[in-house]
Amino acid sequence: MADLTFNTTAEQTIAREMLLMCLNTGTSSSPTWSPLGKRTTDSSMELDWSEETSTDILGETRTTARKPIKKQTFDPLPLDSADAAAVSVWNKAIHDNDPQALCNMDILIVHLYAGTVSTPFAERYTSSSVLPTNLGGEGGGDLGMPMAVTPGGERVTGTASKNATTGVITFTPDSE
Amino acid sequence: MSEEQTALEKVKAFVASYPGADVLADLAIDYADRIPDTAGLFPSGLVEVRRVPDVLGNVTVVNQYNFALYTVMSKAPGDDAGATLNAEWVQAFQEWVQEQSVLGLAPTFGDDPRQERITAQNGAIYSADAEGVAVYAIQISVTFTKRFEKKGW
Repeated sequence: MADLTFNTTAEQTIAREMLLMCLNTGTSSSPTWSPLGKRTTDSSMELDWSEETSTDILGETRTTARKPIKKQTFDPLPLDSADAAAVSVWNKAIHDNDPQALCNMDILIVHLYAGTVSTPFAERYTSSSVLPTNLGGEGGGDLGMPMAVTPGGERVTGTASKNATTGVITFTPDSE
Repeated sequence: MSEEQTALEKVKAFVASYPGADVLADLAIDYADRIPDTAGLFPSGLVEVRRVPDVLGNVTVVNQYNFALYTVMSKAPGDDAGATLNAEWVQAFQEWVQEQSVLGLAPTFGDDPRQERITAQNGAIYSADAEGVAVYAIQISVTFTKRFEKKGW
């Protein structure tokens, strides 16, 4: 399979918002993809490759790695009634205290910079964990609920598109 | 305060609402006559304090409007009692602005009223002449937040 190309302007860096993580706030069969990270100023996807490096008796160094465990934290994440993703997580975590639901969340990662502009590369993880780490904040400040997301379950690659009129994001698996 | 008011109109109306402030009832803009019991409000524009983008490309901007309030009062040379009254008026006005801001009673200018702040500070005598007219200057600042949501993706 040929490498995907980036759709951004050559010799220019790529804006941070070109990497988007969305939470399914609809149903599995009829997803509603709601972006995560409103008002979060710095958030990166950590990649744990379970890397092990050793040197044998001949002095040669070898490194092994496994498929990465991805983890992304959103901190701070001030709560906002217009943030559908945060409201959905709050309900499962704070209202329902439902760890099973929180560990089976449907996540879509959209790489807006890769593939075509209108149908960028995306990957869907249907059994991801989305776990708030606290709920609160300083006096006079915002009520925040930072969270950590670990994409998990079956990884389905495909493309994403967004309806220019409605703003609805749609994921299309590669197999379709 | 109606939503249609400009920032200048809001500040002018807010300052004029100070109880016991006849001197502020008919504020001039960018002009202060040397007639006792008059006042002028001098806007000095908008300062962008901070611009904070989030990971989705939305931007939160913290802005500040600055104004100078000049109040003209009677103060004859050597009139310590009059000078004391004037100074106390200036201090009381600053405390009133602080109270209004803290209690959320001041007008709002941005998208997040809870984050807003109006301050009146550094009130001091600006000039005084032999004819018994003194001008006092007070710095008024309005700090507010604007949210800009990213369009497209």
